[in-house]
Amino acid sequence: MSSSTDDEGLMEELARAMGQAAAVPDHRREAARAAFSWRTIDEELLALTHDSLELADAAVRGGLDVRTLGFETDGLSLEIEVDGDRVFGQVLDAQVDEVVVESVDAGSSAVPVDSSGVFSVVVPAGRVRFGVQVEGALRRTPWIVLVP
Amino acid sequence: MRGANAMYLGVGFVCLQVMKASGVGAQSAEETLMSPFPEVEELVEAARAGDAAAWDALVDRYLPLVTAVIRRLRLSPADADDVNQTVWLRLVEHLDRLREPRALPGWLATTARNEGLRQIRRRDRDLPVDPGGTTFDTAEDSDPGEALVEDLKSHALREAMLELPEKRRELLLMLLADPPASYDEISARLGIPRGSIGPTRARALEQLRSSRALRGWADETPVRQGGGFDVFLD
Repeated sequence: MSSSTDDEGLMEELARAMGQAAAVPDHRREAARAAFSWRTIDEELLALTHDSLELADAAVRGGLDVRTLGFETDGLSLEIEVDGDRVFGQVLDAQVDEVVVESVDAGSSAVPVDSSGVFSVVVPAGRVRFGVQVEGALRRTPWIVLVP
Repeated sequence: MRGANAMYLGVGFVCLQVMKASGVGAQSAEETLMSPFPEVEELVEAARAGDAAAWDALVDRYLPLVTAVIRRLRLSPADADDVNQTVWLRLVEHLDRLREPRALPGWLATTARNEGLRQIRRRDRDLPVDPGGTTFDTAEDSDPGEALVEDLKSHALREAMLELPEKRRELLLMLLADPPASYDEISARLGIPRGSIGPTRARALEQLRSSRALRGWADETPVRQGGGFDVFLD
C-alpha cells in the first residue's frame, strides 16, 4: 500500500500532465493536423549536408548576409545561396529541366534550370522545400525556412 | 478509426471543465471518454497507409508534449507556432522511416527542443552584435535534461490515464478539475456513494502506478538511459 502522501504527489503530477493537455492552443492543433497533407510516400530525401547558419562562430559567417546550404542524395546534389528573399541554386551531377519549390503557405511552383544546372527564384516566407525530379522520382529537401 | 479524432483524453478533460461551468455537454464528454484508445503502433501504421484520422489521433496524443517542450523555451508566439509546424512536418516526413513507434515521445520532445533552439539561434543571428555581450541568454529553465524528463513523464501519465477503466479515469479528472468537483457532484455523476470516492481514488492511483505506460516510461525513455534518440530512425 502506498501512503496518502504519495497519492497527493501523484495527483499533483497528474494535474500538471492534464493541465498541459488543456493548454494546447487550437491553432497549433490545426497546424499539426494540416501537416499530414504534405505526406509523400517512401521517398528518398535530398538530405541537408551543410547550412552556414548552423556554424557556431559568428566571425566565420562574417558580416555577409548570404546563407549557403547544400543537399545530397544518391547521384545528385543541390547547392543554394540565399540573398534576401532570392535564392540562387545549382543542381550538380544530374541533368534536370526544373526544380520545384513547395511552400506550406504559398503552394508550389516549378522553376526552370539552365544547361549548367543553375536557377534563381524568389522564395516565399515560411517553410519551403525544393524538389528535383530525377530518374522518375521526385527527391525533396527537408522543410526549411529561408525567409522568416 | 471511428472516434479517433475525439480519442484524446485532454478533450474529455476540457469538456469536463466546460461542462462544469455550463452544466451541459455531459453526453459528448462521456462519449469522448468511452472511445477506444488504439496503440501508437496501430496509429502509425494507419497513418502510413494514408489514414488522416489516425494522424489526427497521433497529433491529439502527442501535441500536449510538443507544446510543453516548446513553451519552456519562451519563444515569441509566432516563433513557437513556427517550431510546432516544423516538428509535425518533420514527423510526416519521417513517418515511413520510423522503426520504433514507442520511441516517438522522445523523438518528438528532442526534435521540438532542437528546432526551438535553432529558431533562437536564427533570431540571435538577426540581432546586431552587442560588443559588450558574450553570451546569449535563451531564457531557458536551468536544467534542460531534467525538464525533458519531466515533460516525458507527464506524457506517460496521460497515456497511463488511458489504461484506466472509464469510471476511475473520470473520477480522477473530476478531482483534478479546477476547482475540483465536490463529493456530492461526483457521487451523483458517477453513481457511487460518497464513502467510496476516497477508496476508488486510491485504487485508481494504484492502478496508474502499475500501468504499462508508467512502467514503460521508466524502462524505455531513452533520455533516462543516457542514450540518443537515434533508435527512432534508420
